[in-house]
Amino acid sequence: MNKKSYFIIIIGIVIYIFIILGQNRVPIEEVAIISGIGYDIERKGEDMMEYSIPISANVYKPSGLQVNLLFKDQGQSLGEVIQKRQESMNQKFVQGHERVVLVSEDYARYGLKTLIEDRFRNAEVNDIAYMAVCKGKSEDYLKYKVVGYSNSSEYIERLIEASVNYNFFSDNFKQIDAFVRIGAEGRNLMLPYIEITEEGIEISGMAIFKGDKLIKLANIKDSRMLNLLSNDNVKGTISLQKSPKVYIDFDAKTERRKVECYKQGDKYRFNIDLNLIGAVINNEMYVDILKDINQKKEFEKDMADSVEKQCNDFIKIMKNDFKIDCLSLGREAAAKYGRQKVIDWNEVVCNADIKVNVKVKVDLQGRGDY
Amino acid sequence: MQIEKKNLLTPNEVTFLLIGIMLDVSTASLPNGVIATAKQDGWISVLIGAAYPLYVALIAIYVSGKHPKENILVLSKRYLGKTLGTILNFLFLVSFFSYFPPLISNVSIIIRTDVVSILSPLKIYVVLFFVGVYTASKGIKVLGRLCTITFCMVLVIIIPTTFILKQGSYLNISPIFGTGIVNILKGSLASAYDYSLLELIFLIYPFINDKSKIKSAALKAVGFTAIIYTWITFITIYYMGKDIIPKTIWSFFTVTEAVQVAVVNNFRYIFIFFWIIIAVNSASIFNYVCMFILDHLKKIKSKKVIYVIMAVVVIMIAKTYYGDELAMAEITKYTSPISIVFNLLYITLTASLIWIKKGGAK
Repeated sequence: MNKKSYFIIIIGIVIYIFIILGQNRVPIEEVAIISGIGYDIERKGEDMMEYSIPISANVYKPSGLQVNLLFKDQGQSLGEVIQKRQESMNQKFVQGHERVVLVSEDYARYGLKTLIEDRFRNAEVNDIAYMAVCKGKSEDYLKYKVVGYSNSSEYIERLIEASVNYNFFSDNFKQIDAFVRIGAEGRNLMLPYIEITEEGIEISGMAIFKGDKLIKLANIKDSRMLNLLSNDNVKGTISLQKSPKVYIDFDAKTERRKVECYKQGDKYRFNIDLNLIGAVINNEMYVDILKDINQKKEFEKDMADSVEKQCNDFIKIMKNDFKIDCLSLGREAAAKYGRQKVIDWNEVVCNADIKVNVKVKVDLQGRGDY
Repeated sequence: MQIEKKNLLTPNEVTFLLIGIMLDVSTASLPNGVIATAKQDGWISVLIGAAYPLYVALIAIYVSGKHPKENILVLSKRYLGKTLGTILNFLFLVSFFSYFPPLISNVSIIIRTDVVSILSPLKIYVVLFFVGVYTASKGIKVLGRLCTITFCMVLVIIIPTTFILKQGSYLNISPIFGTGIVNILKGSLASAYDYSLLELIFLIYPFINDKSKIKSAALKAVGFTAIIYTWITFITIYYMGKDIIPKTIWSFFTVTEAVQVAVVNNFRYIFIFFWIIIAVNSASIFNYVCMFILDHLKKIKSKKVIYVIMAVVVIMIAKTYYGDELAMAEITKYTSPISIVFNLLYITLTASLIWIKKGGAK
């Protein structure tokens, strides 16, 4: 028995040496860990362009110091960029820990196809990194110094992660979400659009894609309605206001959105049911809302009408200006009336009747009315 | 007598052994195959595809009822004559063997793509065979126990994927039956590769310690496998949709990326670690089965030498003919249907001869 266990231990060691042999392992101090990556293109005249990929890398020193460096290289193809990167880098770089993938507006307008291919094929990358479209060059965002953070990519990640608390933003801005949206029937990709303002980096709207190309930017006001209409279980605040002193704020949470789809002849009809449940957080408008059930009902009705109107306004913008199905309604129709029929759902949805029914329910009113 | 009894398999171990041989690494790309024709109804195809192992299990229950002490190799010789029986037994070995090189090649491709790209395929093969041969040489009881552990591991990695129910959408799988029943049936043919090799039961039923439990053990194995496969296909379509699955090679791995577990940065690495253990498990069973049939065809004195020769042959074949995904698909496109059809004919023939000649120990 004793002999046998020695044998097993020896075999184990032999296998370990066998695997380890011929590999040059390097300690953590000698690799650069990519924490954020940006995708830019530079146009050089007609039909001539170069990819430019800035990366923000964390380098750990033996003394325990962590520094953040920015490397930027250009090339005709993405592979060439990676090769060139090593020419100016004194360390091996590793992927898999990147927090954000930033895409410049130019790149997004040119098309995400090359980026998605690069990120999809490589099994090492972090699929749950957040994606965002940025105004100007992504390099500037990675370079940006945020007080209190060692690098800006960490800050941008937190920024997008925290956005779900208000404005009805969803959590579906990860790289893997882009994979499952771009190629799918009846779906379009939406990503947050970030800008550098005087106050720092902030989300200023939504970037709307058709296929893999950015076609429109929605400002934050439209984004709110876009998010409210297209997502399930999101949070945000809506207000009714008559004057700076007379207003009511409602902190709402939506449930799963219900979409019904009908077909009349060639025309499609969609009914979107939204249920908003939440708390009144400020009230300077309905005096007796805490005591009078009729006032509460009146508020609920007024609020529902107001949200409905804003939604209808957005749908008008979507149909006439964006000319694209931002609400994934095509997907609902495809699920009901069959797939693989080569229907352009963007066109169908833009010509369809879309009706929004909003129900508002106040279930909490805070501690009281002062 | 006591020792012999200890070395027999319990009914549960038989179930897990059967699941162990069916569920190999290629299951990760099962949704890709069925979705080509069945589209969003692929999971129904997989459910229907379970008819094939069910048929094999039913035949096995019948045969084991008549001859509980002898395996199919003995029976085919008795009912078909020595020469024909030996030839068919040899072909049975070949049909098992045809799954062996693709298995280890698949493992090496998965490991090198998803985990460590620095390992050379030869290293992976050698380690796989070291462990596989050692386990196989310990006999069927050890294999049974190993399969029990592996099955628990399979559950450990399958259960977290239920979290994805929140992230995907039922819209991806509807309209149900939208592709038409013909396409669904065609799609179920694609699942046959992953359902194959339940024929192992014809070799191991004499080892069970409670003969009356063979029925439930075999049916349980088919049931569990069908449930696991249907779930894998369902959740993959549910999460990714039929448009994205063809873009991937192992679509189920992409689904596991979406699983978010606290502390763990990327669930896929854990998932693939368990998946490799499934591969080791399959490799051990294959080693054992090939040696078992060889031993039956011609008594082997020095099993160690044969194991080494077998390992070298399999590695050579895997390296030369099954080098990459495309080359592998090109060959298994032919070998897999031939082996399935042969196995079905072989067991049906033997069973019908038993029925005609009214053989049986009872």
